[in-house]
Amino acid sequence: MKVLNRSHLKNTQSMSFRDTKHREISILFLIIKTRFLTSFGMTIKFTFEIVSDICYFIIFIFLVLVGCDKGLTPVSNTVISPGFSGTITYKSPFPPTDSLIDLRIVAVPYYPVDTLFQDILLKVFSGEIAYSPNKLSTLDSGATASYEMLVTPKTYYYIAVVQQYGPSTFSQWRVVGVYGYSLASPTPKTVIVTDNKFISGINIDVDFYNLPPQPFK
Amino acid sequence: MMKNSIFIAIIFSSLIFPQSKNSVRGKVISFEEKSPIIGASVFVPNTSIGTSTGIDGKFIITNLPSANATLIISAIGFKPINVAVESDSAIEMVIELSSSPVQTQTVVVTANKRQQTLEEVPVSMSIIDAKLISSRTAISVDDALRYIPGVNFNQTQMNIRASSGYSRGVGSRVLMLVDGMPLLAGDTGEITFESIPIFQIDRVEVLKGAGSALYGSGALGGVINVLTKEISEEPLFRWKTYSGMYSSPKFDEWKWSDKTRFTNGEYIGFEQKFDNIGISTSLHRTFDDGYRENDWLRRYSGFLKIKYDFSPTQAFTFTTTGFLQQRGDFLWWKNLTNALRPADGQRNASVTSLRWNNTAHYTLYVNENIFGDVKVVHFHSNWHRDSLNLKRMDESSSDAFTVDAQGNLIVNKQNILTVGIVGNREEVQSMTFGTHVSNGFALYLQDEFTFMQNFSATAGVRYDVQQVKGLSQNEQINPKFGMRYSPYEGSTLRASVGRGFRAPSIGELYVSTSNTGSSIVVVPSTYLKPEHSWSYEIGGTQLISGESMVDIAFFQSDLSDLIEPSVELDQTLNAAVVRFRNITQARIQGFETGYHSQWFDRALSFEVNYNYNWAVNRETGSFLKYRPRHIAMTNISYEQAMFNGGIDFRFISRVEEIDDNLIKLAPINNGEQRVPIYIVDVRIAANLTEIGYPINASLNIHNLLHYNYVELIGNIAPPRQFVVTLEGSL
Repeated sequence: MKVLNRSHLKNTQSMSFRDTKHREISILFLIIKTRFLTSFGMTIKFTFEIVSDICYFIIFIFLVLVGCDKGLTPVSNTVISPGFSGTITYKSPFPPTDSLIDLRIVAVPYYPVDTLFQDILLKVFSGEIAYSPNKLSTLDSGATASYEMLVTPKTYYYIAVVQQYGPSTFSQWRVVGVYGYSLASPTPKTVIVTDNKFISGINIDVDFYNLPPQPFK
Repeated sequence: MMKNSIFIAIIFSSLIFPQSKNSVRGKVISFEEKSPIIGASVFVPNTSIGTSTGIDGKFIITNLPSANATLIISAIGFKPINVAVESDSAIEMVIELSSSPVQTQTVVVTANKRQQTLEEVPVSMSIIDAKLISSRTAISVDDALRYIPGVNFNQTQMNIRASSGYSRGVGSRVLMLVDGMPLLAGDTGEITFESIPIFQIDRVEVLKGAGSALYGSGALGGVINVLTKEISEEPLFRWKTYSGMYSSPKFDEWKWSDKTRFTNGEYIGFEQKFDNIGISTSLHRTFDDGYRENDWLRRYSGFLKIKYDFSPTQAFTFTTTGFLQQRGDFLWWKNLTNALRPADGQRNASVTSLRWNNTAHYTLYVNENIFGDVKVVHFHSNWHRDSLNLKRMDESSSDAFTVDAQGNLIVNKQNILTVGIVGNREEVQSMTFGTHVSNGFALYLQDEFTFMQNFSATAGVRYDVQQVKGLSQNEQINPKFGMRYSPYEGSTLRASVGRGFRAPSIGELYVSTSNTGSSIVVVPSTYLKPEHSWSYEIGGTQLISGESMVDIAFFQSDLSDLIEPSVELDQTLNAAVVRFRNITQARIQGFETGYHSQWFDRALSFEVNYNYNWAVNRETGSFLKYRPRHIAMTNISYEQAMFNGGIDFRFISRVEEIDDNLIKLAPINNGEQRVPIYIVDVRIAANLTEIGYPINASLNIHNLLHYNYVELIGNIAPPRQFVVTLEGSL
């Protein structure tokens, strides 16, 4: 059995561990190396320089692992995911089923005035305009339904509930409720969504028989 | 008719005049450690005769062509040797193989469809052997492929050097072969890793770069070739049992079950040669409770291989593999606060799969300069998705047939020709994809020139015709060229260029569903053209003092007409639709480097690899989706006497671009959440054979750091897992 002697250690130390910043690591490394070799009784055939480099790398990896975080955490959910939530209150009876094909929320980052509805749709699918991915639940009239929407952080000037009242996906839509709109206050309210911010209280009243101003051509 | 008569005459002459029973037995051991080498390949050149060593390193060959023969013995990590033997079954010869610090001497078959050492190959290849698969407790091949440098996974979709992203379960830009024959589902064209008999694997060869000049469609980003074991000459009973458990979720919010989640399985196999017939059969069962809600798995699989040696120069092999699997259908999480629960609507849905493949393989060595083989494979796939009340939500059934006849002609020592003809057919019956048939035909030719002992070149071309019934025909010509130069011993330079293509799968062409969880529907895309790529590589390998090796490769791939889904408004259908289109022109550049060394008489080995990818969409300038920029891996293994162990560390940088549309449309809450991946796996094992017990016991700890990450958006990867394995053979 061969073991490392003092001259080996001294030689190694002088060649590879001159940098004082790494002195502690080098001592740790020498202890590990010496114990490793003596306990397994290996013949020493390698050069200290190569092994030192490799062990430096291993220690580097270890430090990276110790220093790195634990990956994904549930906390991330509450910190990130910008969006808004609120309630939809149905102020009127529902229209007949054949004229309530779909019901969605859209969030538009500008005032859609005299816009072709097909342009709106294209911007929905290009991601410029946010929309609720599922049809809103249609409960009894007078009921209140809650909703959540995850959106890209930006300023939304017009958040509305839209109804598809006929079979044409491209043209037969109308606005049935706008956030912040009322006869007394006809200007829609603006919602500013920023990174790591989820806003609640974006409540919208829907009246299928007293529609707000229609922005579409 | 004439040909058939000759073929039948050959068979009958073999049956009527049985071969003489020259036999040889031996044991293959390591020159340095004198320990048995498990799974070493022992074969007689220019014949179909061969076997592999058992757990004790022993082998026997009972049908040598003559009393004096030459054996070629090779094993991964050792230098192959030729040994002249004399038939004498009473004496057990001991053959010592010197270990090679690197894999340059390993025999491979995938690069040029013939046996050659790795250092003769002009392209980058990686190999994993049965020992690595076993030591990592891989239950499926993809578990083992995660340790290949330059490879990462988007859950079950494999990505070699950033060639592939995530294609939502349809299409694969990596071609999967089993014993040289394709194994892609006929409907979706995806790799079904669970179809591969994991415990019958001898080795897996991974070819990095376009391989369509030999393998045709699908080999756009690389080729995986799974090679199964040779049948043992002596009776061999193998068994394995494993049991494991997942650590509890790290956060209370993620806990969804009070029970510890377990995984377990058993494998039994038997093989033996009876005169000219060899039989290998095995059964495998694996159960997994799953670490996520509704992510459970039950799988039963079987394997049968029968090999008949008509003569030392002719053999016929029939292989059948099948499995029945049922699993929970976890598509994505509810949200990051409920990361181990499925999104509403997926709960309690399940997927049942029944798949099998039959392969017939005839090999003929006319003489030492002319040999060839014919392979026929049939892959049947059936799967269906059911809701809790057993309502059938989706179902698809497909059959894929391939016939490949190949001939090799050694014109002289400087010139080796390979020619082949391939036919394929896919039949699909599906609720989602409809009923369709596609047919294909191909011819390939390759010539390998050896100008000097240290300089060789390879040139090849393949012509493909593919047609889905009812659609226009696609014709492809894919050339390749490669060369290898060894300026001096221990140093090899290589360069290659090749064209790859992938024809769209029937799934991509005909998918039609409104079951998307939104008002958007997916419609057929029958106008799709094949994807193309030109791949270039230049690299080199340098041995250092016989104990270490450095390898570096620079690569570039220019991809065109990449198929990707797009969201559009369809005036005719009066709806928003998703359809596939050839929309992306992309370039992938990068390099891959590795260092491998061994010390202490090669008892301790160390390996580190790094892969850098620069994968950009050339039209938008953005990084390609689902591609990591950095992949690093390191491995330290120690083996002394009966003990061995090791640590694997893998790092994959955070994927920069993902599919925002998928997140919006699905929708996947918190689908954008992803982090860099740091994974540490630890293993320790003891081989008790040397103290008289034919058992190997091991403990594996996967994801030691209990690190939480996603390989695919909305899918937390497995947490820390402990697995105890016992295996042995009699």
